[in-house]
Amino acid sequence: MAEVIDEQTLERVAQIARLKLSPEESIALKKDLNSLLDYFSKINEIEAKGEELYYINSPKSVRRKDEPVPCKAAPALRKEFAKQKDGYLLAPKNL
Amino acid sequence: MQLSSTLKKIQELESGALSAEENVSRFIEKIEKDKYGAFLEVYSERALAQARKVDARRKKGGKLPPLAGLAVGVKNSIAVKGQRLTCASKMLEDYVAPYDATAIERIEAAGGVLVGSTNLDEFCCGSDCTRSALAKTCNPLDTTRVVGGSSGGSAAAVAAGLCDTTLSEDTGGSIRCPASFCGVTGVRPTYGTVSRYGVSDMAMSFDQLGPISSDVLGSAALLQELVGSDPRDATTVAALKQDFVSSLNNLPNGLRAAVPKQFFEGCDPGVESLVRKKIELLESKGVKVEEIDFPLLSYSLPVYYLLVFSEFASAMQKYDGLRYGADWAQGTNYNSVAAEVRSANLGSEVKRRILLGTYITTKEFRGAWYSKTLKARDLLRKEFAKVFKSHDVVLGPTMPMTAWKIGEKSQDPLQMYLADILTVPANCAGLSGASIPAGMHNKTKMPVGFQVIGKWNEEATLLKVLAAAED
Repeated sequence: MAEVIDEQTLERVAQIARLKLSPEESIALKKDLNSLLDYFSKINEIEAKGEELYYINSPKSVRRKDEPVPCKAAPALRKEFAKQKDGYLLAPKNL
Repeated sequence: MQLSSTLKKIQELESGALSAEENVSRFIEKIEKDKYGAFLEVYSERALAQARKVDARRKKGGKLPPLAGLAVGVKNSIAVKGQRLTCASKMLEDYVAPYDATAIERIEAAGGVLVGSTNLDEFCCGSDCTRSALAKTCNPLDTTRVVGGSSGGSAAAVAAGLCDTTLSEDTGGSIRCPASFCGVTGVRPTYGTVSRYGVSDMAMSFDQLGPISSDVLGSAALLQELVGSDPRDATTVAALKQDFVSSLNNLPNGLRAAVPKQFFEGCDPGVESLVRKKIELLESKGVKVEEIDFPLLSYSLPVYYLLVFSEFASAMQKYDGLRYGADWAQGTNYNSVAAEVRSANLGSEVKRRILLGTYITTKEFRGAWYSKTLKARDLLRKEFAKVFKSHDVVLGPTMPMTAWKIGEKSQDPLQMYLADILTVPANCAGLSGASIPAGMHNKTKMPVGFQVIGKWNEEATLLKVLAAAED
């Protein structure tokens, strides 16, 4: 079985996915991910030259009228944020 | 034909022989003593208020809506305003839904009474309901065995008689697998038939809501209230509302069914023999059955999982610690907050799927994995379209085995994924699919499921075939 995901790749993917893995988790996950990708590489047996099918039933764009609609759930949705100030939703710095 | 338990209940509720409040109270009492872990929460207050409304309407003498007084369990990945929406994850353990899903609005408008939320694998990631972070569910027919997944709580609730019917969700078999393992009926309609507004998405191009009920009529009655377009879900199709119930027993003449020989490769012989009996029953009722070769079917599993991983990784990005109840300290960085919260609150299967999905959609590996898989999915859809040019339904087993022992497949994710091999083809192509009981396995003494896959947007025919195969 080819090891397509090595330790460095796993570390980088975990960082993109915003997951912190313990050393034990990393060992187990590296084994699982490689074993699964090895099985799923069966997909390479198909010569697929067709289109990329993202959605099964929407070949056309669905448009709705551009009209404002009140969102009754807005106050409850705002409450889901842990921190707010002066009507703004606060998030930690991303720089 | 045995009188449908749902039909009997509907008649009792219509006539007033049983009031909605009595019906709902009895179920609430039973749910509170639930030994199988089917429910996560009971909606006592909401349920009794809704039941009393139904009874008041009957007293006034008006015509009752079609689901009046029926007790409905709801998979806990579907938003019910004011109730916890946990997805069976620690991440959302205390999250309260701020609005109702469209499907919930439609059930209540039809007089259905929501009695509580049912257990599932965490964020629908699993095939046996052992991945719930909040409750353990066992099979009511043998408590040492799994219930199936991911909508395991719903199937257990119906099998144990804890509600009349349930609203569930199927991404790759999450309705049909537990229905098969618990000996009940589950219907996943065509993608786009039922609005997904208010549903916590697992994989947006696969997810679809549908019923798990004690019989076909129960499923048909709930489904006909759910279908229809919704401006809040752009993937819904503008299907005409249809009366599935009254035409249920009119099996059209000359229906043609395909049985892919690949469906029986690796299938347990006890399962095969019961499924073949169901196929013979349909033949005896005039359905023309033809065995077909469908070699592409074996690629459904990689197509399904690779795309689900990708869509799931994307869907899970919103659980970053800024919303859904988590808190963070001043002066911290967004990425570290998100990583802390996600790592502490997500289970191992969820992490595995996020990592795989992230890997195969990164710029450098996208072409080798994601793009290729999307093209393979198109081939599968086209192959199904060819089959449906000359056939009305596809028949086979739902699961290649009966319910396994709890813990038996927990250590090896691939073994768990392989169990989905017969349910995922319908989802890859966005087709409808359903499972009804085919009988009890001669060795395991557990139920076997008979699967019927229907054409796109032909739920009425699918349900008629199920009804014909039911007795």
